[in-house]
Amino acid sequence: MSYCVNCGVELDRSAKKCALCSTRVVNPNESPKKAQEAPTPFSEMPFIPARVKRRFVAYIVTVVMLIPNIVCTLVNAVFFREGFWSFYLSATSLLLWVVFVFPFYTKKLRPYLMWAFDTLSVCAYVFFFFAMGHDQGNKWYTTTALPIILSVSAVVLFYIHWCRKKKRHWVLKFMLITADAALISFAVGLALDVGYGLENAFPVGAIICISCAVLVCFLAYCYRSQHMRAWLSKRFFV
Amino acid sequence: MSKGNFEWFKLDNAAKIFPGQNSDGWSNVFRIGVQLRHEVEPELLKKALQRVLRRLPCFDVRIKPGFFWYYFEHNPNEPLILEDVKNICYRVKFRENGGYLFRVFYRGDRIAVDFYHALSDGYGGAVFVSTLTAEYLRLKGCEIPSGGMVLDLSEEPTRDEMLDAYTRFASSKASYNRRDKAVYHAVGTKEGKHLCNYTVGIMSFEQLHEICAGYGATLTEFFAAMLMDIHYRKQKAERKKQREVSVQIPVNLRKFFPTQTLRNFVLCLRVKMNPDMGEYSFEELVKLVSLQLRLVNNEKTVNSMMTQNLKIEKNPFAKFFPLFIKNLSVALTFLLTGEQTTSALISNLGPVSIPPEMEEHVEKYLFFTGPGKLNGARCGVITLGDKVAFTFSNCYSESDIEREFFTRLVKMGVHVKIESNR
Repeated sequence: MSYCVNCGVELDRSAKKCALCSTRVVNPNESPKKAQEAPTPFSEMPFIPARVKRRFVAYIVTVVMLIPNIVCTLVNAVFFREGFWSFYLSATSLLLWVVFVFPFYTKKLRPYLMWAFDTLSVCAYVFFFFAMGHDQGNKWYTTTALPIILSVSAVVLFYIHWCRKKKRHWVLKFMLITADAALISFAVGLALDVGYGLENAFPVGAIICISCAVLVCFLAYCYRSQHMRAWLSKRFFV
Repeated sequence: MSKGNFEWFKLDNAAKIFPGQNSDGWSNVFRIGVQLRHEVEPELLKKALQRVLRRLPCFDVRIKPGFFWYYFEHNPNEPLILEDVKNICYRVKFRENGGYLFRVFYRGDRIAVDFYHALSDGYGGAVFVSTLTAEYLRLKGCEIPSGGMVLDLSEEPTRDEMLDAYTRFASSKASYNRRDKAVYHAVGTKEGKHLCNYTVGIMSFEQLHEICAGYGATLTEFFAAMLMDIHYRKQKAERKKQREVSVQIPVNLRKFFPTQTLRNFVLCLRVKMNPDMGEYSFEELVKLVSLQLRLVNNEKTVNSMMTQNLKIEKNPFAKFFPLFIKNLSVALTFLLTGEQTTSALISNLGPVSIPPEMEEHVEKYLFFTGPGKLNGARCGVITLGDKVAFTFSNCYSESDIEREFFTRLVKMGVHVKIESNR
């Protein structure tokens, strides 16, 4: 019979440590072998139930998504032959599949892999519209669309990396999202202005960017300054 | 229920919410176990289980989805006997285990049954386990008479045992509105999926009774006050925004209404304290819990609560929603309210009544409430003779609440023996 010197409770004969405080059991009157041989009150083997087959769900969704695409392609090929309208549906379905269904095929969540696939698929999707369009001389894909997609993608990548590094306070997360919005609006404004010739785009993007930057500075100051937080709670209590 | 036989029957009012709460990682499951004075033979146990199921048809069922509600139907499959596992009360899937909503385990000298809460409550579970153990002992050659929680297997199942007692007895004209807000939770490092820590403290009823009598409280009130006090002081030490501390206490309604149904017939009462009211001593908390509990723990109040719960079920709009919408709304309600409104749970099954001839072969009874989703302190209490088994089900790896609880009792002079799966 062993007692925990820390908690004062009697321990089971098989116990190697106190279940309440983890103090090691040392009983000079009982050999450690005896304690090892004593049956434990609970089984040592956990039963981990099989997980729901995510891949099976993904297969079902894939089949469901395939059906309207096949039907539309056939209808496009046989009945309504004007243009390649069914290709737009197929491209959109493919993009949705890559973004929402493909993650279920992997055993665990792989954010960087998903990020890469999503970026590539969005680039390909927009390129498809560019290639199918009739204003190819405009080169809007390389001058406008691609820079926007890549800058948004870079910002998302940084956010994923930053969040995964350690647990962050919600204010910091909100600050980073606002900073991201500032960068994206600046990049979009610039790309539309330079690449697409939209004159007002850059000033609008810059205004949004400056507003977001001011908000980020204010939040950063509030986050760091206890005095400011106290003043805010005093002034704006509900 | 179909006329004259038990081929299928509706879920009772309390059971209706449990399938909606079921998820891939969590189900509302509780366990009642018996430790015998000799090794368990699985073949005999299986034989005993088959005989017991004929007497207890409300357990010999599987759950099926209807268009509007789930229902129970007779299960033609053979029940299984399983070797015990470390993570007891793990989640239930309706198609596993031959469709049975209980799992019978054995290990060494122990028999244990995990019950899905839609099937029955603690009392029904204790009757099932006691009858099963008695039949097992009879097959071993012991002379065990029926009586108390051990049912006579030669008798036919009665209508009262299958009764949906909520519908039968909810008759109040008053409706009791319970408005609860989010309360304090002593959270920690969550154990992995399907895993939970269980700590059992075996204590003497005599010693505990003496201490409780000193405080003028019952065992349940005393334990609830102690849990409340531990949470209250833990929250204070954390120096965060102080929230209310609430302890949930399921109450067996059979003591108020004349029925011995083996299906669910419990109602959860809540006692709470507000730290903003000022400094509370333990004595004050015991008094607070006792008074709050005694104020609502009476036939009229529980009847009004039952009536209120039934009103939701009987609502014509809610009634005709398809099952999947009901499931979604139950899951959402459970997420938003559920354990958010309770800091801890204590379920006291009270003393188990079995024939003295059987008591000679039984070392103790154990009652596990199953893991919580948010609560680290979900406690089950069961008494056999002078042995009180107090069980903590903790989904977090920290054991500070259990330690504080049992060491306080040790300081009060109670002998505590600890068993754990940690």
